Amino acid sequence: MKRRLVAVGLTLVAGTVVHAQQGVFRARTDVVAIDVSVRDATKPVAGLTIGDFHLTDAGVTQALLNVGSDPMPLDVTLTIDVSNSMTADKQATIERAIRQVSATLKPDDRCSVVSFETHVLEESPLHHPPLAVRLTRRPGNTSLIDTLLLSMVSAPVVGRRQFNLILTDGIDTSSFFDTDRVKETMKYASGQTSVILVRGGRKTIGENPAIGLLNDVAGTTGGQVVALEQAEGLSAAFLAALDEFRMSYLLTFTPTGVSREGWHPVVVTVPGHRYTVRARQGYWFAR
Amino acid sequence: MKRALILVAIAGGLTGAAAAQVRVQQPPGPAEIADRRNELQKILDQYAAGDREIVARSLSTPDLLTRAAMRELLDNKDAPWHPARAVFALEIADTWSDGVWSFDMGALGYGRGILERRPTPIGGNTIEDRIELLYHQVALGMLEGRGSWPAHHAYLTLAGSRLDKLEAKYPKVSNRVPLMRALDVAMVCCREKLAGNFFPGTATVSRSDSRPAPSPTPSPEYATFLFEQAAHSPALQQEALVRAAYIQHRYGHAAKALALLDRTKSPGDPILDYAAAMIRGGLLDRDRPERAAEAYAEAARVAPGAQVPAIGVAAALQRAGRVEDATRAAEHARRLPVDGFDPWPDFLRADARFVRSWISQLRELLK
Repeated sequence: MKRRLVAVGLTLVAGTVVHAQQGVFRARTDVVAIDVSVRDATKPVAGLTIGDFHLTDAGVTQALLNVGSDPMPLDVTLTIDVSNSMTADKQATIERAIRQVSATLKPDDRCSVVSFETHVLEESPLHHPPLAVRLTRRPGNTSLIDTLLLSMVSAPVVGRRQFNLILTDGIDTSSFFDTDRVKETMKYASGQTSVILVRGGRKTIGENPAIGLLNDVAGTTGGQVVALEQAEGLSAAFLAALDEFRMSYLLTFTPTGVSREGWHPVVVTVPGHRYTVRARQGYWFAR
Repeated sequence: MKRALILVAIAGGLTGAAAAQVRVQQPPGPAEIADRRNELQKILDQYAAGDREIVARSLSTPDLLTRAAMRELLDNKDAPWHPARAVFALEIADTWSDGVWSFDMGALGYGRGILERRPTPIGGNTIEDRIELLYHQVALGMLEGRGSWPAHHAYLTLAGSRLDKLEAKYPKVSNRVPLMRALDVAMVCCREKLAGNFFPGTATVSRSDSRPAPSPTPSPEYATFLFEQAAHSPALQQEALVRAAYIQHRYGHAAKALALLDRTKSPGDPILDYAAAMIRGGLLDRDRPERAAEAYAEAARVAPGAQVPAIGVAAALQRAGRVEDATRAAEHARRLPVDGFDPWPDFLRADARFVRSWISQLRELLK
């Protein structure tokens, strides 16, 4: 029986084909994979097993197949704002952070680097480490919302976990698309998106609609928004976000007792513990 | 006149040593201004004689003295009439808007005043009438290009009666004024929704911001009505309908917007074909992602280097469940060159895209 990946993450096993008298008969089981981060007050919680988790799909409790105890290789995409706020010093800091991320990647991992201002540019395609990138500084406006929209377009990859890390100051000055488009598209996205938000001393970022969107994107995909006052703490923030993703659990289940279409809200808890559980908020059932 | 010290750097509470650090600049005196004005008169004379490049060559970086002298030169109500004076003022406005000085309406206003004072009334000289109509279009087009919508509204108000007479006298002469009036109403009522992030100078505020709105009260419905009126002119039809559709789209009236787009004929102006396709994509994106992808793809065919429609295609395909096609489209979008041409800003800048051509026509008419 072939298991089909419905959403976000990876397939478990390429299934077998049952031969019937009339010809090849294929049955199919859909599998959903959800990245889940569990923290106590100070750090990620390791060592949890399948029995520690409770997951509901559209309010219906699901039987978990696995909690991803085997490490999976990662596909990491670093998306970097190179617009007007990018100084030469900041560029050097970011490139250093990228090198440090590269140094922590395993040989089976892959990484790509994308930069954006009004234009989104693939600086380095997805490939195995090491990563050496010289960012193209391009003073201009910032199309953060368009960039987020493009970053939401991805397909689940067999046997790999996908992690998107976006570095931005949260300002959008030139996007064509609106936040609603991103919010709709992110329901279909694979992988987890986290954001490193460099405030640069601004205090009123709450009034910027792009900030709300960043929170929505991270929340929906199970990621987080990490706010820095300045770019100096960038390397540590990059590495911490990557480590947390690597240490997160990958819960898989076959949707049971729920419809086979549309958006499925998912809730994950660890009953009996005061942990902070961060997980993708749902998935779109792909036909 | 007693000369006064002008503090160039303005900071509250400057005292003592701090104040001594501040650079001071004295304004030019009457004698200096008069001398400079005479020099500028010679430049204007050469322009009138046929040296159309002299403004760009000699006056691209005006200082305080030149601006003061130019003001006196162009605002001289006793100067003899010559159409070249008005067009010269336009060229000054065009050249200085790209320089270190911020754009202002001064030069455009002086040229408008020169035309208003011409001895022959509208209808008495076809060439002069043509020059005046083109002049107003250039002025409005420049203001549209800068996103100076309050100034655009003020200019249209001040020039309105003369534009009415010109249109009444030459009903068969194609002009852009009906479209400009509709755009004015749209930007009075609905600038926040229509200006878009691409729009330069949206925050520009002129002293005419406090003027009352025109009546009837500007509204999306009234602006749409004016655009549909403008669409009766074959030369304006495509643009008028696309702009009307854009208003309806931004105000959430999808069915009306699509109906307006369906009335446009393409291929037409590529800027408008692109805008129509992008607007259509945005309308269909809500609930028909497959068709939205087709619309964005059409925009990409018009402007293959533009990244925004490529992003639209990718995202729409993702929502349509065509994940592999979407991923390929996203890769294509990310690999587009950074300097690809995107027509959308030109759509937002409206008539600014014709300014160069109109100035060329004015130069020809001066011969």
